[in-house]
Amino acid sequence: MDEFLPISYLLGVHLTISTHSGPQIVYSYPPSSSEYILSLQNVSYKFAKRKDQASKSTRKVKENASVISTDSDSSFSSSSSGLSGSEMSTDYADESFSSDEGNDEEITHDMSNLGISTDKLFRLFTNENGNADESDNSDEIDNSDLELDIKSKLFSDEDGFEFNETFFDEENYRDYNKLFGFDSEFVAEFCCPDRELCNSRFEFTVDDLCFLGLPIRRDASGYWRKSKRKKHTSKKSSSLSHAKVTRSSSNRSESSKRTQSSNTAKAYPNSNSDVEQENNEESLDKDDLERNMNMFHICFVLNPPLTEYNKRADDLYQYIVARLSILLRYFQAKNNYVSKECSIILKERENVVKYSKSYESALTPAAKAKCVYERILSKSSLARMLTKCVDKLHKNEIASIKVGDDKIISLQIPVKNEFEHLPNFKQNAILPNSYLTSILNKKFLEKASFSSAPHSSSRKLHSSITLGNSLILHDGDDDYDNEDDDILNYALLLLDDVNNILRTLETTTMNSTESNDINMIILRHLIKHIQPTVPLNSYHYIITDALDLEPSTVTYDILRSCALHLIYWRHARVIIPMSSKFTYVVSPIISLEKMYNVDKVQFKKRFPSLPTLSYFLSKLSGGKSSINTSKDGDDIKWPYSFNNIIPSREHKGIYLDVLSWLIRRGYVTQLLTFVYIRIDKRIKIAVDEDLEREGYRRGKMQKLQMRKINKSNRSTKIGDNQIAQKVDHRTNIENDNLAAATDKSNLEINKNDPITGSTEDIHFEFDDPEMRQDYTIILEPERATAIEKRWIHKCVSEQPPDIKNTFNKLLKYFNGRAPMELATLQEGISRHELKRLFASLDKHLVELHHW
Amino acid sequence: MNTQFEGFEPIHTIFFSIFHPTEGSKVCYQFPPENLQAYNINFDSIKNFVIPKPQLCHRLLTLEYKNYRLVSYPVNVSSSSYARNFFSFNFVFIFSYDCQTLPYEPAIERLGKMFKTLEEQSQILSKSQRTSAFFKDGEDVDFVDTKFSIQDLLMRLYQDLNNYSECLIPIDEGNEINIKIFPVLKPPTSVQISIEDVPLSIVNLDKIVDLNWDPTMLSILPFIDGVNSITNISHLSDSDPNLVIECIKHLIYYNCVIITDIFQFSNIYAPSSLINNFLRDPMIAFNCQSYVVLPPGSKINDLPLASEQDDEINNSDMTQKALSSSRSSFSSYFSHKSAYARVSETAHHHQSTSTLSSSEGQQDNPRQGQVLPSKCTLFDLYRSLNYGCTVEAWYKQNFSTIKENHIDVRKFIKFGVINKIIYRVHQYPIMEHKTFKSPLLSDRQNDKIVLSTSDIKFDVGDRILNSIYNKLSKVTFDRDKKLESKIGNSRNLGESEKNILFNALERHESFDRICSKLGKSKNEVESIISEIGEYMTINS
Repeated sequence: MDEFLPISYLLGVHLTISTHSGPQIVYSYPPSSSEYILSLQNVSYKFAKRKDQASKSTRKVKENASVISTDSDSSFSSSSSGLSGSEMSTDYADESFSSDEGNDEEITHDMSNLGISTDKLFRLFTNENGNADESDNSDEIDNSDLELDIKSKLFSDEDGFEFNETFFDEENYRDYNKLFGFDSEFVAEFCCPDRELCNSRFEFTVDDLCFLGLPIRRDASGYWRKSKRKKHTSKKSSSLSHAKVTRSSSNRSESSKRTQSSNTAKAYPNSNSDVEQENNEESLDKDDLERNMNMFHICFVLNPPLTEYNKRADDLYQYIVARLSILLRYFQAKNNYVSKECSIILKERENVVKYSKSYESALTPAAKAKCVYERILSKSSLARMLTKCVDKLHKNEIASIKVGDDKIISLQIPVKNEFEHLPNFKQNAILPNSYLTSILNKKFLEKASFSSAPHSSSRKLHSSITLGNSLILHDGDDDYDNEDDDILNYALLLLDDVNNILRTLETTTMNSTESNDINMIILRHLIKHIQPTVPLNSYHYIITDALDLEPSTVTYDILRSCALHLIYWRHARVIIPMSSKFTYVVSPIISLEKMYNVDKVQFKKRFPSLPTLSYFLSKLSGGKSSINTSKDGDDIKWPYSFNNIIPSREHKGIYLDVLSWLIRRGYVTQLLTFVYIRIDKRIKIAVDEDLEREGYRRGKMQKLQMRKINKSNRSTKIGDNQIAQKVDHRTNIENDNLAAATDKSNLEINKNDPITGSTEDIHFEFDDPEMRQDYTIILEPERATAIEKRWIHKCVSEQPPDIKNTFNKLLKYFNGRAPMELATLQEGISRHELKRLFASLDKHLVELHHW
Repeated sequence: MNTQFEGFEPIHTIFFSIFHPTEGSKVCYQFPPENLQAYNINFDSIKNFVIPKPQLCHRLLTLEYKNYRLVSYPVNVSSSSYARNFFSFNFVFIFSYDCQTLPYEPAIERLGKMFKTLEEQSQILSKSQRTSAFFKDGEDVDFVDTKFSIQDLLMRLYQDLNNYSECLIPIDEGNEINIKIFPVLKPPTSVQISIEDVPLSIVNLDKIVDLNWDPTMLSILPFIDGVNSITNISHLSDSDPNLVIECIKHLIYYNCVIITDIFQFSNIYAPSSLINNFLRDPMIAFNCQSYVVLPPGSKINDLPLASEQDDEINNSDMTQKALSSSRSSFSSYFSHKSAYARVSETAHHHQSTSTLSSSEGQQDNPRQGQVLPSKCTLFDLYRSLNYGCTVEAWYKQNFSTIKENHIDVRKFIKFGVINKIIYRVHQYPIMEHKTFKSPLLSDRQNDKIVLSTSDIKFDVGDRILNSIYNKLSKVTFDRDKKLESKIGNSRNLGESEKNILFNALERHESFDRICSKLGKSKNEVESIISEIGEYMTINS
């Protein structure tokens, strides 16, 4: 029902470990009731539609929110009642921004603005020497666009990290010791299953609640990964190599982390002692847990509707749970990351409960819990990571999280917003602004992750490792050149403003050291220069220039991973390079009723000097006028290219901009040309005669006989025909008896020829002049049988050599699935040559036009 | 979505497990025997999920274990008569992992609940173990009257459910196990149907109809023929359109009808990416051949082309509507001066083909001796549909082919749409406020634009619009009148209709919907709109 809509139904996450003293839940998030979390998700979907519209107006507010948060975080009194006051004001401000109506809100809006300026000052004051943090903060704010739209208040702490305050509201809060109605000890118990259930998918549902995870347990000899080595070699070796490369950067980031934490300490003057204290104790306690922890389990809890259960659970497991858990296992094996973090979390909680004044002064359990969470999150990167993961997934965004100090992984459940076939959107809701195209971006991402499995992981980028770490290392050997579907032949269409993308890009790399990385430079360059009209290949120079390398497979691979990175991060889409010579039509899946009024305004803003959106859409509709002309005089032949609506040469640039805008918003899709080879009767006869001449045929007698048989058959019922069809359907649609006749005769020539449906039976007079139009279509020219090949060659036998040449180059694309627009690019054939080919082989090629 | 129901996944194993006072959790019986061992299912590693703590009892649990999915409903009965003051048991159903266990789940839950009650009442399960270990004072327990065998129960459950998807197993005089498994269907709520949609039945509704059905449903059934739109159906059956939509939703839910569009000669169709299926799936092409052919002797293609008539295209797109209306003597709704309305003499003929179309799944007897259109012809015809031309233009271009091959155009298009070979290119009139001819109307339109951008709900907008309209019509009396006469030359557009039209334009509704709402043909609507102001058509 809503399977195309990106609703994760994720409730929360908890981390369970098992030690010698039994299982326990170390961390769980969010501490809210499931009803509230779910209500949030539904809202988030509804508002997502208006994201773009509202994001700009809410920007200011966002900053406010974060400012307030720093304010409250560093406030010494830290009474949560004051906090909620400021919360309220931002909330109102949000509302007034997102729906500009009513005067009452207007006033509150103004008031909050006043408050903001002081907050800003304060922020500058507190953050004056934490530049890195500052940039982080502002970036986080960017990411939080949506969140503000859904009217949840955001708070980001010193680490550029945020969590959803409303989870701690009194009415939404649930007992810290309860997990969705269960005692946490009890949940811990059943989330620590027997050894046999560990290291594989764990899925346990209680009524509607699904606990989904991948419990990781030491093997009998105490190793975390050894037993699984065989199975996961590829993944591990990849992550290993990453670790090596990232080593150097990790040191840097570590140092920056230090400064961060000192900042934290400054922001919490009263927690200084805690930090030191903990540093002393940490070593002792860590060892203890390291030795004792024999299992950890990141368990996600979700609550999908029954009918979508399998899909939602599988998605979450495949894209999130498995990746996260396996990565953590790697870190645990490497440096006991998980157990260290666990001890930090446990320690911190104890500290807060015992010593923290703010905890004591908090009146309600919710406020107390908030206190605990704030402190844990400021201390533990694992806790931050899980929290962020959940928050991002709630919003269907990409969670880019830092694991430990030296690695960033990004997780997302892909959004279904592209369709190869027309979806039945009357019955299944789809996301607005979805794309309808044969060029599926998903395919590239999947191929990349697939091909990365046996090789190094540099192309696994999208699945777990972001660009920063993964680009450089790549060990050359590659079979990409053999693949006909190279991403470099396509162009990238950026889905947002260049500056916006650059800004978000910085967020995802988290800290400033990395953004100066050579890869980031390349990526930035690429984003700045990229044009949807130019194939990616042409940007190769950016890499060779930046790295000062000779062109090689390595450099091409860097370009590829850059492109994949942009797709994965939903910054860009792969398209066939735009050109005014191609045909574009209005996409059948747009919903004017939902989108038009909003986009009309956007369009006007973006292109103030041009006609309205409706003008372009109607022009691209084949237009009323063009229908009329075709009726009368037929001057412009459909399909006509985009050129026809460009009034003059000077307009070309801006019109192409319009086109890219339309494609980006899903309004327009390219009408592609697909080609089949058709073999008509004349060719078959000719081939037949050739064969006869070559002496394969035993004599004309037989053929005559055959004809007689055919004739006698021709009044057979259709019922039999059906059987014949079944026998024969593999490659051809056999429409006429002639094909059958030749097939039969070819049986003697080519015994292996599977085409020969010997029971083929006919209801058409084969030498009926009317039947001239009947033909056979070769579905897979690359896998054509012997006789089919002869037919194909016969088609071009009388053509001049250059046409033959073009034909042979393109032959493998004549399968009805490869768009000619792309084939010409891949084979380097000009439009002119293609035109010539089509003109001279008109009778033998069947053109289809769709997206 | 449209996947055919393919039966239920078989149960792999059923086992019955209890908590034994001295031996702990254990498997008592299983069917097929020794299946757990045979498939390497280690009970010890899952026993905590099979006989869980009381918090998890009386809840439906599913657990993934290796390649299996275990579905169970653990029960814990406490009573002082038991040795440990409680008795725990669980009927566990094992399925292969990747299957839909959903249909079984309510049945398994019910089974657990039932035995919980039976155990509370008569200790049927604990006694069936025939050991005193379960009870505090075991010697006093009377095992004589327990003839109930769990082993037999498991066997019958397994066999009956796997073979018949239902079972009826008596336990004692008063109790029996009744299970019938139903496929789980997606809730019908999200289906968005609007009044211009045309329901097309894919099963023979006459055969499944039941007198107990909803009266509206019964009244609309005869009109579901793949030709009538929902508006039309509601008029013909004299029912409320919303009720009709509700009925159609139900029919969709049970996979009895699908939704198509109104067939008109002014429609535009274009090939979709699934057109390849016509070549690759031989059944499609084969079915198409026999579906689209006209019945022998049909004269429909011998009729003169619409354009050859003096009063040109005007109403040709109403063909099918006219057909259906003339057939059902529902003539007041549409004007039919259309050329094709002359078909009414052959309408009877056509009717028979339409009813055939409604039971499309079952093929009509192959018409003896009739030549079917070749697949090539059909493929070429589908291929030649495109964004740039209406069915009418296409029909003219291909008239000779269509005529020679006795192709029923409507069914040809319908077949393509149903099989998604082609799709309907919907047309939307879009009016921009700048392009109005009449100052009066442009004022009005400007107001509307303001409203639309400020996100005011439509009903509010309506009211304001109405008041504005009223005011304006009073003030600029004669100009309005002139306009009125212009619009209402032959068709007087009432106040309410105007509102409908304005709202529709405001909401960017498709021509189909506007036509259905106003009950006018596309040409009429087009001319009305063009009199209001300049508009553009978007095909999508």
